[in-house]
Amino acid sequence: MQKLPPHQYALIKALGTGSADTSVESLAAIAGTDQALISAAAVELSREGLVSVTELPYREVTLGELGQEIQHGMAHLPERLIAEVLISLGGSAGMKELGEHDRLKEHGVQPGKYARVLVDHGWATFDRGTLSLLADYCDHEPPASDAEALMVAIQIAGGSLVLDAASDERHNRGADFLKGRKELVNVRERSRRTVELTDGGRRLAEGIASGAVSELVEVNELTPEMLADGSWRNVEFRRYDVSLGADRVHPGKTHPLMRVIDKVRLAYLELGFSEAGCEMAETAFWDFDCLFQPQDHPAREMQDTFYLKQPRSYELPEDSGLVDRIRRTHEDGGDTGSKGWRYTWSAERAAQVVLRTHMTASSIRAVSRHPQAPHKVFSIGRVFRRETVDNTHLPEFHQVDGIIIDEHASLATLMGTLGKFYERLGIKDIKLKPAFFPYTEPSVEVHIKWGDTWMEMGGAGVFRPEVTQPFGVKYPVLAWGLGVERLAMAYYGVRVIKDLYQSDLGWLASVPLES
Amino acid sequence: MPVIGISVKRLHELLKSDVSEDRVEQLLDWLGCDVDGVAEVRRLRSRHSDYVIELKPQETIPLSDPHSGFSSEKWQDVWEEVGSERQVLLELLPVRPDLFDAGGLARALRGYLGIETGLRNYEPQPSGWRCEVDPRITDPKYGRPLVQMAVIRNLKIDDNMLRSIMKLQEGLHWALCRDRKFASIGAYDLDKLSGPIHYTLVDPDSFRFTPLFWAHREPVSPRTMLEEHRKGMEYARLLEGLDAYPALVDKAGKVLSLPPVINAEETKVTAGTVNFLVDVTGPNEPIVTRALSILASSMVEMDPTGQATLETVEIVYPDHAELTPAMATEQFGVDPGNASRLLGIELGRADCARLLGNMRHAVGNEAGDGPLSVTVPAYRNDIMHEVDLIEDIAIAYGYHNIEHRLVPSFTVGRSLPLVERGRLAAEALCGLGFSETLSLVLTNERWHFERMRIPEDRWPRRVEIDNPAHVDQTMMRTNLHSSLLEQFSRNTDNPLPQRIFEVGDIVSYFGVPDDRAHPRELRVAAAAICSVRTGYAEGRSVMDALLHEMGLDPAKFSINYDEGDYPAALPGRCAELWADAELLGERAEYCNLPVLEGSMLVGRLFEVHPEVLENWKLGNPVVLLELVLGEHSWD
Repeated sequence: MQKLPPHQYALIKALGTGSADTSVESLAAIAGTDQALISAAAVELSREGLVSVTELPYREVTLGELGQEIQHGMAHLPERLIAEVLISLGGSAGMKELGEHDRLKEHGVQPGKYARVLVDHGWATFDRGTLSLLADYCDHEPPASDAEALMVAIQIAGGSLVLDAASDERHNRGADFLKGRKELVNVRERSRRTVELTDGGRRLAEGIASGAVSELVEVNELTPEMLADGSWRNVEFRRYDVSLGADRVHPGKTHPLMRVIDKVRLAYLELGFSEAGCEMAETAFWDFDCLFQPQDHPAREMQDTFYLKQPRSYELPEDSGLVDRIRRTHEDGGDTGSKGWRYTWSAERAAQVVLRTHMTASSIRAVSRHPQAPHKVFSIGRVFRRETVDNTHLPEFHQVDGIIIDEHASLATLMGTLGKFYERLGIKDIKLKPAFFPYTEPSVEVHIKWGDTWMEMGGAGVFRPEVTQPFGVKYPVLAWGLGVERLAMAYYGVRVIKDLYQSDLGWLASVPLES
Repeated sequence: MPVIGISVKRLHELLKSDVSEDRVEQLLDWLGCDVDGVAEVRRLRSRHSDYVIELKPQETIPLSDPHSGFSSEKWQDVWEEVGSERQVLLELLPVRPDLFDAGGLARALRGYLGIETGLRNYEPQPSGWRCEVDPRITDPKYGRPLVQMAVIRNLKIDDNMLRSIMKLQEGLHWALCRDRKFASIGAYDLDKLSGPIHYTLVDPDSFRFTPLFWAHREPVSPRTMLEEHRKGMEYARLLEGLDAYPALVDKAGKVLSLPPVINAEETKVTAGTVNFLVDVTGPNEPIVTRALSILASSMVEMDPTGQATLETVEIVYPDHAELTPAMATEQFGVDPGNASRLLGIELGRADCARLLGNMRHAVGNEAGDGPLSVTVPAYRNDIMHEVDLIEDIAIAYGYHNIEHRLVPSFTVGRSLPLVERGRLAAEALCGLGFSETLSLVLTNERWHFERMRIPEDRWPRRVEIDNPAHVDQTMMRTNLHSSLLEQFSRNTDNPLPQRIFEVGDIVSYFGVPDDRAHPRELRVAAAAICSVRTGYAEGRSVMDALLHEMGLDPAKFSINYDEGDYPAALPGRCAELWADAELLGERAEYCNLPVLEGSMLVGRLFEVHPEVLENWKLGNPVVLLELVLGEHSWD
């Protein structure tokens, strides 16, 4: 059984009716389908030699606006008007004289534009600025030009005329003449296709009539019904243009900042660290005093730290030995070998509750729980600073702090660890330079190379003995931390930190998991 | 941190070498300074008051002079250009005020480069000048019972150096003196003075003098100066409520200054000054002493010819007299073994001694046993312990020269179970088509309660901030409801449906006895759907799925959905999830949750009340669910 695609089937069948009019329009009407499909089918079948397609050009002419007005007697053909005027002037006149002629002015006809036309029509000559009618036409008007004849013919035909090779020559000439004068006549070049069956095509038509040739059904989708009744065998699945896209979708995703946090957690876990934390509302004791920050330090002032009115203060640790050691360390160095800060330490001030200003508070809590070596701990969490909000600062952000208690802890091993840590985050180029932090000595500032620029990305150091000695730690304690938002903003090209917390859902959807 | 500019030319003169700009930057970096690059800095002097400003390349020229008050649309009417120079821009390190100017920096760099090492002894000789202290001013109520002074001779300065001296004073005020609270500094042209100097009190209204920058005005009273002069207005608070103001006046009645506020015109330092008197007054003895040590020594270091000398002034108090500046050094012991261990590099006695010398300390006992005896100069404010000197050793060695190593110990990493649970919940919710959002823990009562339709008598006990910086952050959130609605309210332009979730911490006193101070910190997962059509049923499906994925099988833990009464919810569309306390309590993360009649509240699910939606300007229904993943415990 031979199958033809639907539009080809329709065309052959229509041709098989033996209609005299084998134009595409007619065939489409017979087939009851779109002309475009018939046309496409004709092209396809002619390639296979089953039909032959003939193209006959023709023109469709209609009257322009001025053309219609002229036919209705409401306007004059400009060149005809000029001819009349010339007759009244004795057959010839200069352009200037014509330009000032009342009648021409009245009808808005500029003689300059039409002098050429009169010459082309064979009505006049033009020499040195003077337009002169031919002798024959000085007394009576010239006969109708081809253009005028065409316009009349269009009018008679009801406004639209088809001109082809078989039409009146005068009309064709008129159409040529009026090309470019759209105000008079519109000419549309068309072509007419007709289709004829070849011998092969005739055999197909016979096949259709006898039922040997049938229509190929083309579908878009495979359905369960087709699978159930096996009809999928009788259909053709329309071939898709696979280069075209479909609807955009995106998965439910984790937040970019959380992904950075997870990356940082993973880096620490891979290096053998245990995760820890502390309460967000902490006493100044753990947030400042245990880190040897004096009670009159500017960072502890109301300007920079959030103090709480509820809860206002907590009990200090029950281990009064610890509290006493901290006090003495602040006042005169205690047993740490330091000068101390030389002031009177207040337990009341230490008991005040603040919103933690750094995760180092968690690190020192971890030290107090486990002062023995070896021990590696990291803490990630939100910290709070009472700062002016701007593009890169919010009152709350995430910080990570890691510590190592080890017999071999030193500045050299701190530097080595920093290198490995940042390498886990995909950062190979780092610069380590001297810095100052109140609770580490020596201290290091870490700068990373991001693209072409160097940027500061956190600090590090060895905890001062004033910090570790009161907890009975025998070895140096390495510590380092960074602000996570800063890293995330670099990774994702975010320039305003608020965008991470008041996110546009469209942006969140667009940030890829891998970047 | 403030940024200052140090003249490159000046550094070259003082280093006695033509070190390139790049090299200067690198050396300062290695010393631990925060270098902001090198820039061409322009100098402009006011045409009306002698006030000089410096402008970096991108800075706009102010159109008014704050001292004379003169202003104009054209800056040329206000200022004349008096030159420009290449300056290294440095962020001031508060702990190293001895590096706030070219003199101090050059001193440090000469040591670092090995050009001039060890302790510099300024050997101050008595100048013969005296300062007599009025007994009344020793009363602490005047805020500055202490005064110390120094004379610097043969320091020929130009306009640039004058500016440096001013900047150094400002820097010391900022870093050391806590904005003049603990000490304040003045400098005067010695040759305009006749001694002895009197440190006394003057009447706020009857006394007359001409403060700095006001040469164009008639002499004013101190009170007028405090009310109208720029510096007066800035520091008036330090003299608030006093019946008399401290003043330094010379024998002939010439005014030196009214500390801590302003110097006088008649004794001021100019570009022609050669001999200087400097003073520091204040209540805090260590800071007053340190400020004078730094200022005096830095000024001596400013002189490229090396001819400037330091001399002492006798301060005569009612009960005793002393010579200042004392330039007292401090002794510390440094054990080379400790240094080697702490830094992780091999350092012998000679190495440590040499490196400490590079950092301008004197080192004794090099040949002997036991710790090296290190003498720290009077201008160093940051040495409190052996480790501070060990850091100096590391800096002199060069951080960039230290070989990186790793600690050899093997430890096994371990994550916090509750954090893992949070990420698991996130995974489940992503799989259900939700995307994660993040919001601040800090919120405020308007958003967290009022907009949620919770009347004030039902506001729970919560963590409240005593000194909020902004009305939007006054408390810590007790749930994630308002956070999620806030996200929707910022995304009304984005297409629906919107399905979001957040996993985070809330801080709540729920179930905490009134006398207990510590709130609970709980990790929760909350999700919300905003859509043209949504409701309880859709939320219920999600909650059931989440419970299942989190291993909270309702049958196993006896979790019931009970009708809830929550003002933010549409009545009849709110459920509370209660689990059997004994069964759920066996899980570590739930074991401390409050128990009410044998049950624990683990979650909530509700359609958001239309009034709440209106409050948040949301035009579509929202269903919200929240599940407690556990309580944080840090031990």
